[in-house]
Amino acid sequence: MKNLALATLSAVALAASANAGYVPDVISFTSLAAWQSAPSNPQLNLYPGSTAQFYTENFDGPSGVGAYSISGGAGWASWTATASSGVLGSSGTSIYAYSAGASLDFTFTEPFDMPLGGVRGIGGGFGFVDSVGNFVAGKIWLKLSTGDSIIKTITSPQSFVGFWVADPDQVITGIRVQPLGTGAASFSVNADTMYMGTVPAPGAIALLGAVGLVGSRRRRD
Amino acid sequence: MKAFVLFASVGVVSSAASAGVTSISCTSLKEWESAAELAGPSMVTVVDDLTGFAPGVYESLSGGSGWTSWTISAEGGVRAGASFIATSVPGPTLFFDFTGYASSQDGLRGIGGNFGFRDDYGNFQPGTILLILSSGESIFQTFNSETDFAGYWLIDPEVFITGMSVQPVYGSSLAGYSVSVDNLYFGGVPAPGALSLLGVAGICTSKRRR
Repeated sequence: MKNLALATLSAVALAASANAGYVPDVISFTSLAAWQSAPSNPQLNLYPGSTAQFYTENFDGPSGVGAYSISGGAGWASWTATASSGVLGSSGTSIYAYSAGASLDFTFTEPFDMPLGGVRGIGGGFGFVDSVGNFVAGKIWLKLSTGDSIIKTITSPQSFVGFWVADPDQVITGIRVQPLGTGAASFSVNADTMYMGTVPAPGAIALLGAVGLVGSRRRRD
Repeated sequence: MKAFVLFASVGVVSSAASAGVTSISCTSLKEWESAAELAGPSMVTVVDDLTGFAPGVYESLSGGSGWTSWTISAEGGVRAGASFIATSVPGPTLFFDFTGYASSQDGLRGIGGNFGFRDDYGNFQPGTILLILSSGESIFQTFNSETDFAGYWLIDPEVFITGMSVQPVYGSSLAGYSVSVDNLYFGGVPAPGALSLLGVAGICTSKRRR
């Protein structure tokens, strides 16, 4: 089941803090709550005056092994999963790279609905599963298409890693969940929840405004 | 301040594993240390415990040498404690400048630290920070203990870390505390001379302790 547009948050347009440091391009997070509230956090000032939209993917579809790719989502949050070894598995509540040691790849290159600007935030519950689908702790290397990455030891199914792209000119076109360390040799890397976020690009906001004006005039006519 | 060489990595797995990756963020020291080999061959890591300063408030504080040189400053000045450096008052961002290195060969490629907050008595307080590198990479993290860690490696050999800002992200209960750093961890490929110097410094330190 796919949960479309779970939440909409309005980012507060505030002037940058006088004591702000360098300007971030991409921000990594290890807390789901912090990731979800980031677009509306005035201290981050990510997308002033814009509204973030979210999509949660629970991967609860039919179970089975042998697919070479699995697709889901909708519109700007469309995704396709593949595995570096070629074969995927689905448990009904998560998807995983069938072969131990293989990476799990997601691409977000389906045509997304303009004027939304594609995926700008991504995060999820990633980790490892054994042959019967039980969670196994282990270390992953989550790589973004932008070149940014995070290495994190996942210790529970509730662990979270994620990113927001702060640069309005960048979107996330894919991620790779790569196993690292000793667990990588014995267990399959998986994703049981994936969170996606988008924020209209400044150009899209202008376009939305223009469309709104035209619509308004047409209604008046 | 005392600087200790932690280790040098061989880095045989780096090129294929990190293809397409420009930076790696880590939230544990162990992961940051083990990621050194992914950042490139012959990577050396050095820790500076930021001690040796008389307790008090300074306009800025500097330390390290060569590619591990650092200057820490903040609006309103910085406060040196027994084992930490913090902003002199709650609110400002802590700025780190690493432009003291001698050449592009021995620039800074990795950086990390134990961050957090300090009250008026110098006691550690948990809290959330936004760490931003000069190259734009950033991590948003809550620090719950003095040993909590955040760090980065840059993979692109053409890009060095020249600075870092550590910005407090205040909730309603944290406004009275100053953002702080306990230890700084440096990663890079020092020039041969610099490496020898670090080795001599390490030996001297070791003999003095004995």
